[in-house]
Order: sequence, then C-alpha cells, then structure tokens
Amino acid sequence: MSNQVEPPLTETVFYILLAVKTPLHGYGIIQEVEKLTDNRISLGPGTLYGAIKSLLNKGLIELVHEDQRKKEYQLTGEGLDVLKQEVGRLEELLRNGKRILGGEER
Amino acid sequence: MTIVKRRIFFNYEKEEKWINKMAQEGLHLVKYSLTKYTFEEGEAGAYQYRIQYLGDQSEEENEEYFQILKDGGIEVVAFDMNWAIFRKKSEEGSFDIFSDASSKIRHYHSISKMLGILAIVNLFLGFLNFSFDTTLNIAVSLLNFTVTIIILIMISYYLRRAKKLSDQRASLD
Repeated sequence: MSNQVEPPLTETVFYILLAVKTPLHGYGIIQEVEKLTDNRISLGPGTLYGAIKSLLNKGLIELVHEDQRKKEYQLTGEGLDVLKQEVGRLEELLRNGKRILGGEER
Repeated sequence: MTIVKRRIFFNYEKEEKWINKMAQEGLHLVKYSLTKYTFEEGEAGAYQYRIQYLGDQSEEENEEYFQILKDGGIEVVAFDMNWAIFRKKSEEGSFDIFSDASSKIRHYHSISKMLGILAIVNLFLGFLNFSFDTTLNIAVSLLNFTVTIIILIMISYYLRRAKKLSDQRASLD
C-alpha cells in the first residue's frame, strides 16, 4: 500500500477524510467539519471542491451515491489507512508534547 | 431601479473590493458582462460578493460545484469566460471561497497559467503582425505587444500574492 498523501495532512484534508467516514455530499461535509471543530474550521467551497477532486484522484475517497445533482462521497479503504496513520502520528506528537510541556509547567 | 456602471479592472481582487463597496452602499450587482456592471438598489450591505476563476474545471464539475454553492446559500450572479461572481446574503454569515492558503495559492497559479497562455498568444500575434509590414499591421502589432506587457504585469501581481502566502506558511515550518 503506497502512501499517496505526504504527512502531515493539512487540517482541510484531515477533516474532510474524517467527515466522509459516513457518506456525505459537499455541503454536508462543510457542515460536519464545522460541527466537529466547533465552528473553528469553516471550509470554503472552493477549498472543499478542490480537495474533493484531489482526494478522488488519489483514491482516498469515492463517489458512492448521486441524488439529482448532489453527489455523495465516502472514505475508501486507502483513505481509512491514511487517516489511521495520521492519527497515529498525531498521537505521538500529542504524547510527547504533553509529557515534555507538562514537566515544564511547574 | 437598476444602475449600470462601466469599469475595467486589471485584477480581480480590486474588482471584488469595488463590487462589495457598492453593496455596502446599497447597490447590489445583479448582472455582469465585459466591463458593464448592472446594479439593483437594495438594503445597504445585504449581500457579500466573491469572484473566482474556474478555468480548470469541466462543465460537469462546474455543475456540481454550483450545486454545492447553492446548498450553502450562495448564488451565481454571473459566469462568463470561466470567471464567476458569487453572492451570499450577509445575514447568513461570513463567506469566503477559500479557507486555506494552499487553495488560495492554487487559485492564483491557475489564473497566472491562463494569463500566461494569453500573453504568449499576444506575443506571437505581435510578431506575426509585425512581419506583415503594412502600417495597419504594425499598429496592431504594437497593440499586441502592449497587451502582452499588461498581461505580464498582471501575472507578476498574482505570482507575488501567491509567493507571499506560501512564504507565510513556510515561516511556520
């Protein structure tokens, strides 16, 4: 399995991949990411759509349903692998950050 | 009541600022076609406008993109020659087409690429016209060369903006 997306993932890519673990259409992804980040990240439609095309190209998401003009996307197996790797990487950062900074807090 | 204004802009960001300034004053853009801007009077600041270049997309992709925009309450005011003008009601919240630096940079690059092709075509036409040696052809060739220079200035503006963004990002590495 080749890692087609170089770590680190941008927040945009990370949250889009995370959001489409369950099938969502474009605007639904924007809403889900706002919910997940408590409105910290509000994906611009241009950013979102560019990312969707790129992730489709890389095989990390796929079109699963088309209803009138609304297309729904979902994570592929490769996409899930990339996400898991990224979460693992972030866990390492977090672990070390908390440990070392936690020590300096005194 | 509609009001028509004519303007030429050499960069879309200035154009966008101007359209939004009009909107703040209660004039809302409802139609656009090459230098001709048609406004409708309305509540001051009721709409926010954004401009995007959609050159790298197929018609099918544009359709899908416009649907996503529509879902988000964004209206397509004009779409011509791959340039789109969007608007959204201010009361529905803030409105940006791009939410991260890399997509903004990609946008600047895609515009620059398109302008680059235009510049090359104009340069070529300039030389072609120049080679014909009649007064008319020479005059047109000067026009071609002038247009080429103007386009190159526009490209350098967009590339500088893109570089500024990417330098800001790199400084965090």
